[in-house]
Amino acid sequence: MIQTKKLTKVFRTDEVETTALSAIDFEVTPGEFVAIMGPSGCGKSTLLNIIGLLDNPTSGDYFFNEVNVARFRENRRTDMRKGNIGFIFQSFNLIDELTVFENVELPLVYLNIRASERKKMVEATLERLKIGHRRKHYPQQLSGGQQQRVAIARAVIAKPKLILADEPTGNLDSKHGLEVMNLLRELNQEGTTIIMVTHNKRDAEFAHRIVNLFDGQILMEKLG
Amino acid sequence: MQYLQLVYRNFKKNAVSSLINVFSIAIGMTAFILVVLWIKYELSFDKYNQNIENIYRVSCEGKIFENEIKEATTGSILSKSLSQTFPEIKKATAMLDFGRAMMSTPDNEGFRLKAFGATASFFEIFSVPVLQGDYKMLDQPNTAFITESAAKRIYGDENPVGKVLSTGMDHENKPFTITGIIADIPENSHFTFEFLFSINSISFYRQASHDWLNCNVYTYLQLDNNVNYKLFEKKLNEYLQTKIAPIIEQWRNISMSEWKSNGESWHFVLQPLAKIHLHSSLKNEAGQNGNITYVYMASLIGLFILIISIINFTNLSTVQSASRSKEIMVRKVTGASRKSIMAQFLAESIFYSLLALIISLILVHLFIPVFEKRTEIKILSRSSITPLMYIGSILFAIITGFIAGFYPAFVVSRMSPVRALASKFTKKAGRKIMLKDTLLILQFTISIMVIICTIAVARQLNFLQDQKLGFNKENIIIVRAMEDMSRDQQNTFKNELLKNSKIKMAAFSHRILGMSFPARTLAIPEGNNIKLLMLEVCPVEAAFFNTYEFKLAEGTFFNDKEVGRKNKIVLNEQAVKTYNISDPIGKYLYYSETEYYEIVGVTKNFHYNSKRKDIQPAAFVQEPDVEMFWSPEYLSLRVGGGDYQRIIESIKSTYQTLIPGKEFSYSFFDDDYDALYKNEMQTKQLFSIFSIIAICLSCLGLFGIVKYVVFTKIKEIGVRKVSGAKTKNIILMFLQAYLKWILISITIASPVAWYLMHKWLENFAYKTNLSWWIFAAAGAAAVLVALLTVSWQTWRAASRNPVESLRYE
Repeated sequence: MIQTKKLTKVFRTDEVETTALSAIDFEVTPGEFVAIMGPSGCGKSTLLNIIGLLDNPTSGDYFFNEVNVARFRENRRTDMRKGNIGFIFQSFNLIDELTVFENVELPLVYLNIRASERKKMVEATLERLKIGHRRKHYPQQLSGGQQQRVAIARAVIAKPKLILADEPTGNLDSKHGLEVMNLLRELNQEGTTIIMVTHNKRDAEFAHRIVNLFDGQILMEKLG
Repeated sequence: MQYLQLVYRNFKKNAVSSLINVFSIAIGMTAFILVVLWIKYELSFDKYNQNIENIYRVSCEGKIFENEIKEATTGSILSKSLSQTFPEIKKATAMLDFGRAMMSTPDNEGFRLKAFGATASFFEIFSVPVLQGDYKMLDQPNTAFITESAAKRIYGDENPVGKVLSTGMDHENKPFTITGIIADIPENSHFTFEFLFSINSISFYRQASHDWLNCNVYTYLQLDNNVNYKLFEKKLNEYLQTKIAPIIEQWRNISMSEWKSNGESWHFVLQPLAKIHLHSSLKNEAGQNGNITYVYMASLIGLFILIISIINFTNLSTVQSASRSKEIMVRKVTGASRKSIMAQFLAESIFYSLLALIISLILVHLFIPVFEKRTEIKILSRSSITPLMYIGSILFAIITGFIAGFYPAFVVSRMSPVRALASKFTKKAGRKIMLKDTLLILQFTISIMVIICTIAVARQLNFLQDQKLGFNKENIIIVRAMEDMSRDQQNTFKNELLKNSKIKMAAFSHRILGMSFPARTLAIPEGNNIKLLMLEVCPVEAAFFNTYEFKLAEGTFFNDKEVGRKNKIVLNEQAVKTYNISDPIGKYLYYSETEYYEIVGVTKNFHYNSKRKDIQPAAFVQEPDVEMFWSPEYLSLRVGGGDYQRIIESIKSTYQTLIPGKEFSYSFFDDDYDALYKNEMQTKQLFSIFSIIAICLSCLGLFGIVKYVVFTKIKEIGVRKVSGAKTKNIILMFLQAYLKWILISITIASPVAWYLMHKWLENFAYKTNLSWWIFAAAGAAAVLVALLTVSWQTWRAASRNPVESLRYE
């Protein structure tokens, strides 16, 4: 499903050049649950962003479903992303001006799905994540755990094959964190591929495989 | 001092946006200062007179026959007799506008001087300093005063006193002895002249004894300090009625009451000197007066632009402060009070505003020549910028800076440190955007209004110019001052010119179109009765009709061969209509019991006056003994096009061989005629300059607001993109929001602009309609400009990698 060859990312400012990723070879097969670990600034999030087609590598190749997308422009990446990849962030990234329902509905709007159809899909997903009773609330009226469930609902609503999670439990207490991890495992068991960046050893235990990143290089892989 | 340092560092840090900010307000200030200078100039008219509070011009108003009369001039008898009758009158003078007269020295050297006649009391009423000589001399016939600069031009360093200049007056070459020098008449005076001769020299003035109903000289009165002029005006009119009653009875053979029941009337209006320039537009004004409507319009536009630029400043400052929230919070956390943060922000905006003032003063100085040239509006009479004005403008800049900086300072200083450090700006931003929307709507409303007004003014002008004139104004050269030639010389001149193949036609006339014609009373028999009518009459030669290509409604034009046999008259359709003359051709119009005109033709209506006014009943007359009744003052030449300069050179040389030493004066008729619309042209120029400024400033403001909104929505853009939104989805989302605001602005602006323009158009007898497309076009222009601005800004934000947007969290 995912294959990278010599994937490199360099950030340049006027004075410094930082190598975030250097020649990463990395592979994920469908149905896997992979955790990426490593200290701050080791390039975890950069790797996740490139895998998620939010950013382009500086050099190297990236095959997503056997298509080399490494040089895709923003608009083609968006097309590729749509409906195929769902994102979950540490800080939830919900839009404050939209209700829970509208936040979850967002990906469907951009997939041009009819309103009545959308309504059904959103209701079902909200029920499944046990936040149906909150559909008319705004993000700031929810607890962190609830917000993350809304974000997960948004990530899965379009039934993507791949979910990318960037420290999904980072802003949550352990109880809510556990809930989120159980949800992810459930999704994975239903066949969704999951790649997760985390600091948390316990969360990483949920994965089939743990990849350790250090200074932009893969240090070691461990099967869970 | 510490504030200044901070201000400077911040300025350096955000150089580009700071400069935009400063320039935005500098442009607004420049426009405002220009408008203030212009208004100051317009309001300064005649203020050089110390007695301005007590000086009045007597003008007259009434209805004679079917003609509405509003004249700046009155009969000569007024100034002579009124001061003896009314103790309220301290001084009175009569003034006669003699035009740009041809003056010649005893050596027969000729030049033109703008000449006025007056009595010596002129100097007692008006504050025109006499530099040399005794002002009382002006009451002696054949004396004159000359202005300093005219004296210098003619005599150089020689003393002009005692010199003689002569000019054609009362059918003779009348000599005037210069008895003194006066200071130049200020530019901001409603009349102006270089040569002031004693009005007693002119025969009609000396002889006038009953001309209460005439209009020939300006009458100025200086009243006593404590006189209520409105009450005095009433008293004056009561007296006037007793004076005109016998005249009416004799002239019209009816009693005063019958005359009045005809709907006719005649009375005086006292015009305070201070109000003449801006409030008076009567027939025969002494010069081109201003118009208070334009002063109001200009003030409104100046104020609008200033408001737009202050709004911009506020918006742009708020945008900047938003991006500085972290700095402010750190300051607060480390102990800054709300007051000190407000002070810092206010100091910043006042600094910007002062900087803007300096830039705008430079711009004002750069723009004044351009502005004066484009609009022909003189705004800098030499004394306009006084130290007081500099102090005033500094205060003005401080106040502007304070107003513009208050809101951002208030908002920024209110932010709670915890919230800002957590960067939770968004929730509060909701309310702020509300205020921003309001400001944006206000700004666009103003811009759209200015655009609508610009289009409407331009359209009205084009409409006036396209209006069927009733004659052809192109390719006509006017040779002026034909009265300087004898009748024989005139004929020789004309015949010589017609030998030139480029000159197709030539015709003498007493006046030309575009000037007002003298009015004449005529009688027409109607059954057993006699009907009197009043026509504005211009004596012309037969060739005049073809030279100007008039169109006949019926009958014929004059015929050259019949000159000397009969007096003939050609009416315009308006005369036939107003006086209801059935089958006019062949009828006679009497001007005395034995003398009459035969009506030979009727022309289609033509605009011989500004199209602001309705067409009056008018006529052309052909009279046998031309010199008895009128002097041909103008020669109109229809030329076949080609090299005008060469044609003019040849006319000039013919002229100078005939009367050597005299100044040759010519003009292009279409220029003269277009000068009737000078005020409107100025308005058009003014509006186009200011509408461009207003639109640019609005765009700048919109740019600032969009930048701000995009800034606060960067996270949202990122999230939407991660959720599958394409760049175009994001741009469309923003466009929809702004389109809504612009539509609201159009809705507000249209009726207001419609009302303003409707009022303005009431000044015109012939007016264009305010069709819907004007409003549509203005709206479309605003939408287009906004679309471009918004698209560009959001495109920049939306086309970035979503990662970059999300990194802002």
